[in-house]
Amino acid sequence: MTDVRERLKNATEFVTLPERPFERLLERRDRKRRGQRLASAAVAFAIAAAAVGGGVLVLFRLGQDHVETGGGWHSTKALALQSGEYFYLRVESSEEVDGRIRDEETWWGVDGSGEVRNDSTRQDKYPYPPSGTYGPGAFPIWSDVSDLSPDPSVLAAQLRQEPWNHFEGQPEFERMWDVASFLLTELPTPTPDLRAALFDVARDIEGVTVSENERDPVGREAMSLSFSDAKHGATWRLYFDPGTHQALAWTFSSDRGGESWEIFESGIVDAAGVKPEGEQWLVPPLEGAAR
Amino acid sequence: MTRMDEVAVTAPKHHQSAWASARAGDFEAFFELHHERLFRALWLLTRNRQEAEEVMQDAFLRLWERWDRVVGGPDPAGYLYRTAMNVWRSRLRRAAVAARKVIHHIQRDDEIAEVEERDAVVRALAPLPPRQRAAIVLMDVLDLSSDQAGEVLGIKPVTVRVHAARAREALAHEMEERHD
Repeated sequence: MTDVRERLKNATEFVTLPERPFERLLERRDRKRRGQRLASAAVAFAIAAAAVGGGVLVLFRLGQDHVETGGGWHSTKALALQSGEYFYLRVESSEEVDGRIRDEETWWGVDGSGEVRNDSTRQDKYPYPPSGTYGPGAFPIWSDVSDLSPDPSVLAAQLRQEPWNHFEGQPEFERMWDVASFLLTELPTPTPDLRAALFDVARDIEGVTVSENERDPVGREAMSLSFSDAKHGATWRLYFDPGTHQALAWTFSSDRGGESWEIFESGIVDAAGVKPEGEQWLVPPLEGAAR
Repeated sequence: MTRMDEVAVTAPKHHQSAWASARAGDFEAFFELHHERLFRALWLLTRNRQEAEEVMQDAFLRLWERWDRVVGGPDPAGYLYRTAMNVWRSRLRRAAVAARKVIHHIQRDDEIAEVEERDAVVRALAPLPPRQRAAIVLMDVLDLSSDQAGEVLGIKPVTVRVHAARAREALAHEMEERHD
């Protein structure tokens, strides 16, 4: 049997290795993103057509008003983003990962227009989202979420399927946590109603602990969903506003020491490039956070 | 009222922890460390250089998209192999559908053809069921334990051992037949 092993290993020595493999990976990444931008433009066109044709978005919004749970932040904004509105998201991280400290502000509209102010480090390596002002369909997206439903039961089923379910080797609850937290923390394009649905999905994942009456790392009133890997002593925790169920922060801690976090501010505004004011905020702005 | 810059000042000194240094691991360095080994293994599995490179790149890209989670997790290399196996299986399914429609079929490349001509063991690998092929490549080429290979394939370690054993038997039988 050893001979079988050796012969297989020896055989692999005969293949010619790819030239410039990392550069080719970068090229592939760029091609993939260009394809996703085209898909986004098509979706933007479809949405615009639907809005003109029958007020579909208005009906959609009526069914998706913001979440009231008896506490937390109050916003007059409905969570379903309307045509002409922009979802504002600010992300800041506490420490570098692969040399990058995130510091991003994005405005994204359902027609695929928006603005990005990216002051993160290592943009040579992590150029997305690139700073700029974008017309309809031109906003740089790197994972198209336009087909995801804001209905939690539908969404949960969608996340169990390709292309979201990449990691068949993991237990399902780990995969669901992974993809839900990825969508909530990495992408500026999930709309607030989709984010609230992701909260519902994440809350129901096996092994997730729900804690009420908490504070996020900057002291904002919060509830949290935590997920631990006891075997490796790691805990991931997502903080949400108790009223709007929008993400406030994301932390990772380890038994080996150290905790890192990312903090989010979000709101809905009427123009790209303008920060939310008052009840346009979907979570308490950091200036108002009591620490 | 506290501002973000004050938060940054009062934040713990994460970089002093061992965890933080591991987490700040460089993706490019990770790629350099693992891509060659993964590519060689995928070449045996797919029998096609181009297909092996496609699978490898897709796997690395998926990992890169969530690198901060992966590198903070317990086993980034395991994650990579698991993703690569998922990509490969997914492409196999698509190729099978395409083959039924006579649109596209993955051909072996010249290099694997040359090796297969020379080596009956490699030739005997080709007709094995994908699970058996994956099991023996993970255990015998990538030197994973059956526990690790089980995690990668999403099956029990004992099942991996069974698949690998059957694959080895088939290859050994081929060697005896050919006396080489």
